[in-house]
Amino acid sequence: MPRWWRTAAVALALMLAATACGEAREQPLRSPPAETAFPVTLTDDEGVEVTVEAQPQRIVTFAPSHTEILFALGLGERVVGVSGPFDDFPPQASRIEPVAGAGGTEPNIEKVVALEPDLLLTAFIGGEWKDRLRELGVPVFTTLASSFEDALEDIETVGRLTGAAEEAGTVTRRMQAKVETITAQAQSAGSVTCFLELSDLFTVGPGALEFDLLQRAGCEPITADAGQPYPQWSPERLVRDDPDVFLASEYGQPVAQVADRPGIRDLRAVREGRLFLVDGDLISRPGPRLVDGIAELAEALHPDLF
Amino acid sequence: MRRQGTMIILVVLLVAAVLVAVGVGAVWIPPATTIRLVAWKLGMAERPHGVAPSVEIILFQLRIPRVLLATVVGSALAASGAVFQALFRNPLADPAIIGVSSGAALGAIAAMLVTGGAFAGGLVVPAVAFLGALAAGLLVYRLARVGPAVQVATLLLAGVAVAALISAVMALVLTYSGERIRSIYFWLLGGLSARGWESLAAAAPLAAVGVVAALGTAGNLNLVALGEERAAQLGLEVERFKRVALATGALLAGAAVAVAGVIGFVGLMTPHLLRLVLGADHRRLLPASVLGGALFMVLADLAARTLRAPEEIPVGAVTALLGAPFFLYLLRRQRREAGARA
Amino acid sequence: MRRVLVPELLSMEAVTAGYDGGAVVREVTLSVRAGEVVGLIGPNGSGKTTLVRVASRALRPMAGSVRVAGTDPYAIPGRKAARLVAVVPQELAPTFSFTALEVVLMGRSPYLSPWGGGEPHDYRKAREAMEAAAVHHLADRPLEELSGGEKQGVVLAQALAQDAPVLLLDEPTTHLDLRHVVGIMETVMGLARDEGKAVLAVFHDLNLASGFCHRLVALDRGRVVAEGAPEEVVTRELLRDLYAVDAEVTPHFATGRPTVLLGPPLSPAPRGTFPLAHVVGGAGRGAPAMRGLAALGYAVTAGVLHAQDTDAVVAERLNLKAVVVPPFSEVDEEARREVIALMRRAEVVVVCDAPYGPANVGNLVAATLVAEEGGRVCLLEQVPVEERDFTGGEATGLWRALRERAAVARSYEELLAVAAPPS
Repeated sequence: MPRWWRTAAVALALMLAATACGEAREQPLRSPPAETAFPVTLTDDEGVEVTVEAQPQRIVTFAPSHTEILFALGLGERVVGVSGPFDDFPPQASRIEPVAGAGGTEPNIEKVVALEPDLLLTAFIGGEWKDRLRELGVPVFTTLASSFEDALEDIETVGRLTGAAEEAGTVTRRMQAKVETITAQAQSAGSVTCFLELSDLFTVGPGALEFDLLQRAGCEPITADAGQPYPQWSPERLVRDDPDVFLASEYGQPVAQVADRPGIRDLRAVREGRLFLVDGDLISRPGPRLVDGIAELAEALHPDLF
Repeated sequence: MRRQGTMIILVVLLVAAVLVAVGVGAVWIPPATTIRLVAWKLGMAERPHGVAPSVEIILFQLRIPRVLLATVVGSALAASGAVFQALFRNPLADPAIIGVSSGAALGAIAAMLVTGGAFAGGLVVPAVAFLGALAAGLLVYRLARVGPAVQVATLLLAGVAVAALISAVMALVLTYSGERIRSIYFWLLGGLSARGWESLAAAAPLAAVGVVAALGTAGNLNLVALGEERAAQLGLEVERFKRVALATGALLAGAAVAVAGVIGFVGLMTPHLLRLVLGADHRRLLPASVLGGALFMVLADLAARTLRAPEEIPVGAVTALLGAPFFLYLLRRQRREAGARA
Repeated sequence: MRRVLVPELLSMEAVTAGYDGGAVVREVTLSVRAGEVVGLIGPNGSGKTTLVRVASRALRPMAGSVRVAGTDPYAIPGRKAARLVAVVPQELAPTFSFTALEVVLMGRSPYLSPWGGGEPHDYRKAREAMEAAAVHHLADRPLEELSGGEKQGVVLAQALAQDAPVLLLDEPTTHLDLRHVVGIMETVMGLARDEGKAVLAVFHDLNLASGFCHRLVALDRGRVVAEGAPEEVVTRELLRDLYAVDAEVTPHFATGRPTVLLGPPLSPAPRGTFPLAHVVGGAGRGAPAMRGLAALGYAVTAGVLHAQDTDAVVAERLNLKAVVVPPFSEVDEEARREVIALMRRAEVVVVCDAPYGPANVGNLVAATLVAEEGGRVCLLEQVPVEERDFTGGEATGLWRALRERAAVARSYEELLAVAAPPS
């Protein structure tokens, strides 16, 4: 369940992210980072100053995106614990000890402590469990990405925390280059309107990571006037705006059920076969595979180009 | 006089609310266009020229069925609440509190998982939701049964316990069922967004049967409100009646939950408010609750889909926001009047 | 004499009934005829309420048979049974706020269809029931706003609206003040008399039971221990056996029904070498004087009294020497001689303002005689003699003559001051 829990706490997320961004985003962008010297002290996206004393050898990730990032940085061997069954990429991540407690929204502290980690990375907002772990001497670092740029910075931050700043730089430079190519190509194709449904007419607005991805993949979401990142959208407005492309996150339901709903079934995009399922993991995890997600979106939006 | 007047006012308000709700939405349709389109659909006029097809879809596929569904769901929830409040002789009884809504929700979820669908079309989900509600109701009833009779206090306790148990089971199901049932999570929050004629067709027959049955229990609910011993002295076969009333309340709650998820406050508040105005006689209170619940739900859903348009607000939040202050106001006023008399 | 066959509307034959724990009442047989008010008395836990539940179809007997208007209520649906037998409970506390009329209309529910709202006929019946119970003016008032007595009137009306020939009352007046107790009981008596209802009522208050019932049935530990007219059932012996209470039982001065008097036990007056005082009383007028004079240190004598008169009973309890004649008989020669002897020996003769009729006017004759002989006589005159003269003037004449030679007191306090022994 990578993201839908976030919709329940959208306001809080926005507030925290907004304040955190102002403070934490002052590092220069993607200039070749100096090799980190430990101890490293950084402020995370919740405004907490976190110090990592030495290069982490045993890392617990409590978010699938962080698992993916660490593997991409070549640190997969050091991941001793992951959140749970959603940490499914790369495939070998599935064999790592899960630490999620009952309900899945926070880790089981005993399990985490037993793994003796020297760093825990998470994309979950808030939670008293973070304070408990910090009291027990485990540095906890939170990253919240609301755009592609944010995600790149988070990858670099993780690189600095883990002594892999150089590898992180390589990864992000490659990601940025690829996305710039896609964006340039898509923009040349002209404007396309779209609607991305996460589930039950919950969609994305400005401030959501996926919204940024849609724009980079060359489309104008009809939800640009949304007041929050993850609103539930009016079906009437959806029918009136009648987007060129209807995208549905694969977490939802089979395509037939997505299409066969009042109002939805009458959309031009649905009638004319431009309803596409997109892999939710690729667009909702702020990790290295965002590039693949953007590529998938671009392909759906501009089938003749890609 | 005030009492008959109240019923007339309720009917007028409901008609007015339905008209407003059909006329207003996230997309503005001029009233003249709405009237001409409806007249055309009713075969009373030619199809108006120059109206975009999307307007027709919005009106006939989205707005009208949703407004009608709101009346059905509101009526069913309010009638269910009225039945349970009298049956359990507790003005705080509510399908949600005594576990019946949870049972309906679990039934609906089971049906959705088995049929692979998450949207509340077809008769399967409402039917299984009713069975879930009934099963929860009977379980509560059985648990609460001590000796030959069911005591109200134990019934409420058992209801709370069963509701907690079912909620725990649902939480487990949600946690371990993977990402496919994300829809179910949203559905559980309750709402009428993008429900169409299919949902109406699924819920309306069950709700109609439930409402008729509930109106038939009204006189006997009065007797039960006097206490079970007194009800029996006045000729009521109490144990049999309690089973009938329980099934009626469960049917109504099941019909509503199956199409709209768990929406609180309507079943609790509507009968309570109307009782303050109309008095306790269920022969008046039940029909008034059917009207009042529909009115309340239509207005709540109207607010849910227009206040922050084009975004939607969870209708459960609206029912609580609209209902709670009004409720508290009436409660305070009533207490002041009682104080003034004393 | 022609015997009219009055039907038994409620009958129980050898009924044994109880709960899981076992039988509460055993082999009880009783019946109530049309027009009859039968009271069930007995200590707490004796099974009175259990019998009412059996009769009202709330508790199926383990053995024996119940017939209500000739029908076994357990063999017919509850609705039908509720048309035959109605219950008036101790109190009613609905969960919600119903008006009095709504509550009474519920009494019509054995006749209503589930979807029907009550026909004009039912409203008329409800109104009639409210008039019978004198609560018709409360129709639109919420029940919880009414006083206890008004509320119970509404409950009675609800039961009456059932139009049932058998009426069961389970301590219907427990929480009420005197006015409403009398109101409810008179209504019930009237229903039995005028409409031929059979009434079975549970009472804690024995005077109420004795005063209003035609017949009483006393229960003890689930069995009938006495049955019959109030005079036969309410006795000192019954009070001792059932309640372990030693209390006075005297006939009501007007109705003759046994009346239980509760109060601190009377202490027997001393006898011996004390100054003597004689009291002429009757109908309870003498009792305070007898007690007061005894407290002043007199050895008190009394008479002439009629047996079973309150004063006779008090005299007996106080262990006084008294001249007593049978009820309603005149003061005969022997009694007069005896009482004149007592008066002559007395330091003081106190004549109370009792009603004087042919049966006791002899007391005034005796007192006048003693006064003329120079004896010390005190009169108690709270009520003018004319108002209590039932002799057609004879008593008034005697009283006036007596007044010439006696001290007159206007109250018991004054009387005791005037009649105090010379110190």
